[in-house]
Amino acid sequence: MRWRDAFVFAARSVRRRIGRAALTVLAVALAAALLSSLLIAAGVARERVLNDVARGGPLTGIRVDAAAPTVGALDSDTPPVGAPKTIDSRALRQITALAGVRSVTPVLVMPVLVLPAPTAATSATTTTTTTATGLVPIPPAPGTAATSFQDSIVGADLHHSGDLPVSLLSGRLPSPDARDEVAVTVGYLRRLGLNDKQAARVIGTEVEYGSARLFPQLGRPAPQRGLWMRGLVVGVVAQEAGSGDLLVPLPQAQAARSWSLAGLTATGFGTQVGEYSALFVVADSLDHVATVRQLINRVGFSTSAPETLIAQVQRYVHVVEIVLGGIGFIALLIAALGITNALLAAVRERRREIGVLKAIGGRDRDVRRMFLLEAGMLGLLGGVLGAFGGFLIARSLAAVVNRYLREQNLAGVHIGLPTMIVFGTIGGAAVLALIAGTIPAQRAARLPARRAMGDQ
Amino acid sequence: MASPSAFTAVAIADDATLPRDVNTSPRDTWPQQFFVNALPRASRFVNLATGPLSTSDVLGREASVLPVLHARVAVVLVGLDDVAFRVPPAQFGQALTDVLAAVHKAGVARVLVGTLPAKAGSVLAAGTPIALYDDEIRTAVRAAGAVLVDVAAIDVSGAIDASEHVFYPDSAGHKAIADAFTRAYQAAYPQG
Repeated sequence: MRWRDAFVFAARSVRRRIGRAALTVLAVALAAALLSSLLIAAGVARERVLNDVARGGPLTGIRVDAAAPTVGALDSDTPPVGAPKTIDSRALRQITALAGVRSVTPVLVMPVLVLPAPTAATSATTTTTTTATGLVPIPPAPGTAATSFQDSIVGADLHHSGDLPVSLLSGRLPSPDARDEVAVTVGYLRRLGLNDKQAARVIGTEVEYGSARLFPQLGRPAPQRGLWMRGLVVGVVAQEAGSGDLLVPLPQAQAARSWSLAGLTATGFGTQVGEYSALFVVADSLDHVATVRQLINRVGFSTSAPETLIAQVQRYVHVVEIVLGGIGFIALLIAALGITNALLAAVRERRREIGVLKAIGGRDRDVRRMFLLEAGMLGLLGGVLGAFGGFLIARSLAAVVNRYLREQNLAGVHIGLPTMIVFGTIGGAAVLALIAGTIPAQRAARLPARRAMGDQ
Repeated sequence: MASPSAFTAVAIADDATLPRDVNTSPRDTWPQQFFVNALPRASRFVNLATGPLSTSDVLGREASVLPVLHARVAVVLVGLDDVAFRVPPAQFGQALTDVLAAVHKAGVARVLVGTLPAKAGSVLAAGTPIALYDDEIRTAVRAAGAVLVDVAAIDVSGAIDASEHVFYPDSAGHKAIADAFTRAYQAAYPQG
């Protein structure tokens, strides 16, 4: 018997007992859906938890601070001793060249005076769409909104935003080379009397910020004058890159630094002298983080990284994945027993047919192949339905979860089509069905022709 | 090289242009409002105003730092302190001419100069109309090829400071001046 004939026989058998076949497929599909949805959910949870532990940055991220004691190095568990050492281009090049370093992203924090867009409640014209200065006002919010405040801009190379501890809550990040775009933090919202849920209100508004410079040429004592910049608020972020409520492309912070340094006197005014405030280094693997940190410390800078915590969390999450996968696998095993049961029933019902097949020259292996194909068809069909059903279940769950996260003003989760899980589930269901069909197929194959026909 | 929309603008003026106290936001001053309303968002702005100082002192202080700022736009409103100091109009005119020459030398391409708010003349002695100062401004602006902003023609509200004898615009006055400069800038440079 050829494979094609065996397939036709198997398909005909499924068609003849369509009710039983449908129920068997449904059982496999439900089990496969459970398995795939659990695996998808576990994968998303894993990504989310690790992302939170890494504070939006890469898992292998390392923060590098100036060697001198700084507020930024408070969490450093390997503070170096020795002469203060600022972070400059040379340090950037040195660290970039270290073994195990995948990327290095500089960050520069500069103090500024911030003039946020006035709220409609505080602006002169509440009935029009713009204020006296032509700015789009922020819709009114309860509480007292600040009209100006001292803060800092956090300039970062946003070409590598994925390498920074920055999470987008609403809107988008500024374009890496933009001179007129900023993202603000939840702290900025608080300054304006807005809460986390009102993040969208500030998007599309404008903020002015000025960095100070001493001008001895203008008088004695030297007056300070600001270099004013304007930015369109394009997004709201949670960021740990630096202490400040405005995230801007690096060139903006560099312009502010150049401005302030040009007027720097011996008193210094506390201006950031180093070229960068910090560097964010990404190691090429979690295993290399400790080594890379040691190398950076040897260069003379302090480092901090949550790699131990991340490794622990990864282990815990992996245990959860195994448990959830186990639950799904047990369900699939139960469904496979259903296939065995259905095929055993089929063998009993089709003894005469098996007998006739053998009487006209059918061999044991032909009969075995026919039943195995039937089992495989049921498993494959159930697997396909279950894998995509599981994906839809995971998407539905994600919608519910995202609604909750939005209420909490947290970034939502995204579920793409996980091809590995889908094809794994389909393949797994088919293989398990083949294994489940082995005993009935074997029993059918060993049935003597005369006995098979005689029993009818 | 900076893109056309990415440039620096400066304000050259006396202290009437600065916030009067710590409770006044920089946003309430006319140069800041001009910066927001007239200039592209990617531009940068420096308010060099200081004082009290006469226009001849402006040359030594504010105009002297211009070369390092590489500004493309300058808005100039000087003379209020000259009026308070009773600097003769002709002397004021010469000082302004020198300031505008320094501005030009610093490579500033777009220069807007305002006449004085009419109410500032109330501190002058009888027989010295503020129009004489405005005439000097018009002459200097013409000679420098700058854009004249006729602040004298608009109602600029404010008050004379009793101790300094200087006219200080109030919030509405600052807005009126900013609007006048904005209109003049947009008329002269419609491309932004």
